[in-house]
Amino acid sequence: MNRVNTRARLANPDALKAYDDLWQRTLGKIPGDLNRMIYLASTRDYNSGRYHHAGLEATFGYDAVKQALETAHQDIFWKLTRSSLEQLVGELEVYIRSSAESPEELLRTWRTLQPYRVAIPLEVDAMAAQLLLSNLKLGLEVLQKRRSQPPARP
Amino acid sequence: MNLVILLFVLAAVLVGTLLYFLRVKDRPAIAEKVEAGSLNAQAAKAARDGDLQFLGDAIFSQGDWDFIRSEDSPLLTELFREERRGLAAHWLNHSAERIRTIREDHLRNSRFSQDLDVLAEAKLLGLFVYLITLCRCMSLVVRVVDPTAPRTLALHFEKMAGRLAPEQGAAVPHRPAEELRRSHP
Repeated sequence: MNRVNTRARLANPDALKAYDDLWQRTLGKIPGDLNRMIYLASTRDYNSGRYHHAGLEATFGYDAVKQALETAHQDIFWKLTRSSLEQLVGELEVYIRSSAESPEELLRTWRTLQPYRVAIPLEVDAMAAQLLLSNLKLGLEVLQKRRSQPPARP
Repeated sequence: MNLVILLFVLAAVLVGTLLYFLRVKDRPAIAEKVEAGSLNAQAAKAARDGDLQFLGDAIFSQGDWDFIRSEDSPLLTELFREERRGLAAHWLNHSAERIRTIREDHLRNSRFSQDLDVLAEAKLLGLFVYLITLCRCMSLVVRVVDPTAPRTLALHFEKMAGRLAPEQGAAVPHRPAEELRRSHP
């Protein structure tokens, strides 16, 4: 994550504090960037696209928290978009391992419903979003293929 | 009577000259205004595009292609080809559109310019034509061979497209190369 760049973008000092707090208390404890992106997308209202985090808003105010969540979401999106396909498969494995669902069930749901589509930040380039979605689709197929294939004999 | 006519003509010449100088003085101001507006828009766009310079590298990535081939699955290989062909076509359209927009902006700005360098303009026109032709060639290569085949061309395209902004005199901020480079395991 490029902190210098983030500091330049978050001109509001409260937003920067909220961003640091978000990383320290929440995002830093979540394993994997894909997990983090899904978490951040879940703080966004489906209809309005507005981010909400009651705990942070009580300390830093709505506008600062909105900026912090939006920036963190975009930072992680760009990091994932720049990842190679192999790294993204690793991210998917981490996500599946940390989920309470069975890997088979999760893979089936993700391949069919493609819920990761709603995890993309609102204000990002369509082409970059398309690349990440395509790579996630490919990554899921790689994992499905690995699971359905019998393990190679030693 | 002749003196009145002479004075009238002199006054008309004076007003005419004054108007001419005021117009000339105003012209660069208008040009600067248009240029500044265009530069602001360009800077905002470039900041956005700066984030996107890795896309060509990512779409035509040899590393991803090798990774998929190492999985040894014809279905996966076919899916990868299909996905990357779609992305490549989209990226090429987007790039060609970007070049066209820069060209149009430049043409609009050069209408107000009073000291056009013919050689530089010809060089720039050559670069525009070259980049658009390169886009068309890559579109063809992507359809015919492997989606990662035009990788070298894509990188060359990005390098040449990066030259466009300085050549047309726009201050386009670029991200440092180390920020743009794609991560690999």
